Amino acid sequence: MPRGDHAGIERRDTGGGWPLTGGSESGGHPGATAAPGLVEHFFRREYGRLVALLTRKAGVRHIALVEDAVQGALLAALTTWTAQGLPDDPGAWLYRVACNNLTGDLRRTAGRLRILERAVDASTESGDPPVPPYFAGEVADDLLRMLFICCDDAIPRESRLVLALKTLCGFSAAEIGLRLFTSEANVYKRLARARDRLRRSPLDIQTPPLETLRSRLPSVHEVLYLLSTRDISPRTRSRRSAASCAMRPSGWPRS
Amino acid sequence: MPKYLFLQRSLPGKPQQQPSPAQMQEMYAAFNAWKDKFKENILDMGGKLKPGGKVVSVSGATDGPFVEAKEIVGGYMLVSAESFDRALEVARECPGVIMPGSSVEIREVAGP
Repeated sequence: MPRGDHAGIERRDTGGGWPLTGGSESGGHPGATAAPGLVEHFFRREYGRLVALLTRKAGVRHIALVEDAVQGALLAALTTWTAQGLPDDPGAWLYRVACNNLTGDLRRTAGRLRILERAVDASTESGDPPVPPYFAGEVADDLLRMLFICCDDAIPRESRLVLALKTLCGFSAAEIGLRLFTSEANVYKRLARARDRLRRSPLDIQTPPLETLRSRLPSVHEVLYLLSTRDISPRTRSRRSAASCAMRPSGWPRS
Repeated sequence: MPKYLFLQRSLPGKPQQQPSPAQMQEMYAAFNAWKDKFKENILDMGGKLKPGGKVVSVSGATDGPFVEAKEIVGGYMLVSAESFDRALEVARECPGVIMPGSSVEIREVAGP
């Protein structure tokens, strides 16, 4: 069960709290990947799971806020769990903190938007026309759904893989750059393009309709293939594929 | 055994690059390993200090924090060690403490 008493947690540490006062270089302790109490790649997996889950709840247009909220929760976990030990249910703890972060940000964003609207044109009603409901059951697995979102046709092809690596696998721009043999700056550019497209998504569509999902299957296959073959790790000790990190789709829509 | 106070300082307003989830995994493991290695020495894990606060003197109270040499005390820890060198070792091996933009001051606590 999620714990509710986290009011004292300082979120949005810019680099982890004391004594973990930064993390841009992790080379100080190579080989220390055994994390007592946590499964391998726990932080990356949780990143993927929570981003997929919260994107479904908040909407694809808020994906940047969702990613920030999840990153903040992981940072809070890093400082709190090292100081106080693991909670009984780390996943639920993370979800709780990420949710709080996200609702705070959404409220602030809505507040800013309201101020903007008032300043620009007070009389105009800004509602979108109502969108017919879609069947959430068509894509049950949040991660699978996120993968399909990454393969939106309107997202440039080069940006789809980058977005998948970032949101599903929890890699940073630097880590993606290393894996794709490109610069970090280029990765940021591709991410920005992808997020820009997603931000302009219609308000109420939580899951694309079946025909759209079908049309994206080739792209999904391509991204999955690329994820599973990109097993080059810069600090290779185990040639583990990127796809094995966070993606375990439980089922496939019938094609 | 002597006690030592660690005071961590960082340059304010300098945004440190956020660790990636993969880096956090390593940091978590490294930090737990450090905690385990020096568990006899760590008296008080201390913590991060919240910004703001007040500086109080005989002439009154002014808004904190007290900033000297453009750095702000960000956190503290209390450590017991048989020698200063041992305290230094504890500090040095703590992941993420001594990094660009962050330093730690080690002061022995005077005791009876």
